[in-house]
Amino acid sequence: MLLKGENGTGKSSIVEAIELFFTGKLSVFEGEGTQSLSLRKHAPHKDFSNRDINIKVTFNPGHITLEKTFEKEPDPPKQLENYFQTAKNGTFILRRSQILKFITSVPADRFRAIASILGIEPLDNIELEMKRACDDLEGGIHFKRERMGNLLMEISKLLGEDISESKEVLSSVNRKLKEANLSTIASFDEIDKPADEMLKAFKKTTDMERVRKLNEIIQELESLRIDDKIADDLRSLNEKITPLLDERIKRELSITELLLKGRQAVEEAERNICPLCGQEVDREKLLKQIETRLYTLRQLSEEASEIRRTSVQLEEKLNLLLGKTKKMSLELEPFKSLSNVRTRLLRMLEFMEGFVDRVKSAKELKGGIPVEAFERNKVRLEKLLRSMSVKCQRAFEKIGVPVDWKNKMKVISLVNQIKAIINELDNIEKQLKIEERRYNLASKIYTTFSEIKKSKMDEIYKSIAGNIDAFYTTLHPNDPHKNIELSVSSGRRASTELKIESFGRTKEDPRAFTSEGHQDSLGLCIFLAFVKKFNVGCNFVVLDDVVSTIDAQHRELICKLLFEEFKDYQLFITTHDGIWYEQLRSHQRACGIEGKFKNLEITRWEPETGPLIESFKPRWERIQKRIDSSDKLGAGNEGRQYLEWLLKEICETTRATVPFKIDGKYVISDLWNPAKQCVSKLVKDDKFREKVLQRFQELEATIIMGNLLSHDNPLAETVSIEEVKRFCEAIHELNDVFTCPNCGSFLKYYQDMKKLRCPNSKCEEPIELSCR
Amino acid sequence: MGIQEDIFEDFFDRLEKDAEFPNEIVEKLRKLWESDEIASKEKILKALTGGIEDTSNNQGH
Repeated sequence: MLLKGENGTGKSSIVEAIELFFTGKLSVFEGEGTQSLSLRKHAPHKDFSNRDINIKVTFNPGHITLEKTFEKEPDPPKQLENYFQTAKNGTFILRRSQILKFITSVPADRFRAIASILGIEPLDNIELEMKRACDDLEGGIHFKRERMGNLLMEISKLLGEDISESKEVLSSVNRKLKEANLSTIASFDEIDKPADEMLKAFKKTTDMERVRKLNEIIQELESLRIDDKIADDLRSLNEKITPLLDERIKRELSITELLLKGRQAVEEAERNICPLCGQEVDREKLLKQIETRLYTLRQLSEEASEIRRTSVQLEEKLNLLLGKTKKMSLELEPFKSLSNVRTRLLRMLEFMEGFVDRVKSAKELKGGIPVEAFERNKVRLEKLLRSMSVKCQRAFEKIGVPVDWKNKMKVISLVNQIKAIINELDNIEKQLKIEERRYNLASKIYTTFSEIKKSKMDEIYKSIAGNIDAFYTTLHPNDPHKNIELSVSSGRRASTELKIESFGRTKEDPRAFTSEGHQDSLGLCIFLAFVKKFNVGCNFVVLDDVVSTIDAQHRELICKLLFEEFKDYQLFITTHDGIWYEQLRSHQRACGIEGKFKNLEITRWEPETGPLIESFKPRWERIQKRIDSSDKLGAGNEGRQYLEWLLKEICETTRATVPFKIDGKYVISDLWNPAKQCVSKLVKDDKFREKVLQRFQELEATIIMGNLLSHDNPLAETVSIEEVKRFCEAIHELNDVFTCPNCGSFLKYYQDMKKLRCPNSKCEEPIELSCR
Repeated sequence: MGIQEDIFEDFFDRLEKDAEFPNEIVEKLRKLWESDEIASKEKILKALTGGIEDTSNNQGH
């Protein structure tokens, strides 16, 4: 179907009705800058309501009529399910605004547009989650390796020797035991042996367990250090987080806040109505979509990934410190003299637990890290630990353990400490092996998925690249632009590059060397290639005024492309452009498919009734109708327009020389002589020349022609209807001379062949005339 | 088959053919995909726990 209509007569409304019928939404009400628009509020025209919206579509074969209103969805029968499933994304409709958007958008947006057409948008989120799983595991591994290194350094410090592996520790410990005149051990499981031997000789009344515990606490306090690097790492992490909070969150938080409040409203309302626009919604689906958007908003960037990795490591360090401090607080419980310091330690623990939660929140970009608070409390904790150490020493001295035993107890405590560290090392090593294995698997999952997704996208692009190139070459056969490439960007997730070879330079951005018209036709070719490949279940294609920037010559080629490559498709083409409309009609005739088309025109639009659509009448039929109804003025003016068009066609076809006019407004008197003279000079065929000149003479003989040549005004009101009829018929006969008698196509001059001939490649008996 | 299904079929197929990749994890991932839960870091990590041998070398200190 072709539909012609001036601007504002409702062509696009018809396209929107089709879109609403199949997709349930209108794309003009979605996207950037459409917050003030809503389907429920703005779909009905002024003075109409949602109840007045009723779209009926009849499907053949079977004469199945389905209906869509705001309350009722179309319910397709089984044989149409596939059709509706394919059509529901709306990817069968192309509007002018969409064409350039695809060409000029950034690679990520282009990818999203294609992902939307292909229905693979969720894959992006899945890939991201797989990457996040890898990041988390990597962070944990990194921390564990660092922790193992730190533990070995701690052991080295305690033993006063350089220990690089855990198997060196036992021999070093035994050296210390020997130095203190204690028996050596074969493994750390025998740790109690030297202590037991020593303690047998001690006073039985003394609570040795208490002595040992106190000594252990003292030794732990001596080695308990808060890594200075933690504060630096926290500061560095906070610096990375703060810009994300300041720059984007002001923008994105506004959306995030809206989404959060929207979620709350939808959850609380317990009705299927959107709190923003009042439209009916699928509540569960909406909530899920809001969650996904909130989640994705914060997680998309690589910076967030880095922040997560660093945060995981810091969290583990802080948790370790927290663990040691908690253990210390439990060990202090039996010692009443130390209850005061224990209380202060518990308060410090409370702060640390809250702080770890803040670091976790920062990882999710929910807020910054109060680094200054950490630094203040770090100083307090260090002071507290020193105070505890002094108090524990005093309590130990009060017990009255012999001096040399102090040294032995110190060594035993040292060995106990080292045993605890070795145990921790062993555990970490075991966990590390498991986590490394998990990381390898997670990595494999992510890289395999990414490779397959990229490869699939490339395969899809390659499969349509042939069509895109072929279509583009049809439209631009001798162009310096070719070899169009769509590809997934390497090294970037979810990004599609569009490149073209221009003037011998390969892989250029189309915007670099092509005109807007070229870009428009490229966008059209990409759309048509996707339709051909992916809209298999639905052969319906809508082109809504898509050729505004494309010149007449290339539009001819678009007609050829559509009617040859898409002859099995149901095309619905709208336009305001009369020339493009005539070209489409001419190609229908040339391809012999006129009978398969409905050619319509919107003749009028009223606010109460909307567009008035009638069958399109070719110009000659319109003129005849006016003559039959004795409309002299109407027929005379239409006749003048007909002649003007005809003379322009003749001048263009024969390459007549027409004196230049700066305003480009050529009237009949400008074109008459150049057209007549050029045909006489150009065409060798005497019969044809005679026929043409005869028609020119017949026209010149009409009174109206005389008026036109002198006043550029038919002055039809001064002549009879018969004269008007004679004038119009003479124009039509002149037109007939320049049309192929077999197929009706207007003749075209081929300079290289020196022929004036029918341009229709499908014409069975094309007329051909020799020229000079 | 849709493109998503194509991609996931290839994905599971490749993992299954990898001798070093445990089949039980492939099954867990497949179940997540079938129940539309695979877009979750936590669930992916959970699928990776269990089924992995503890190959740590206990040096016996």
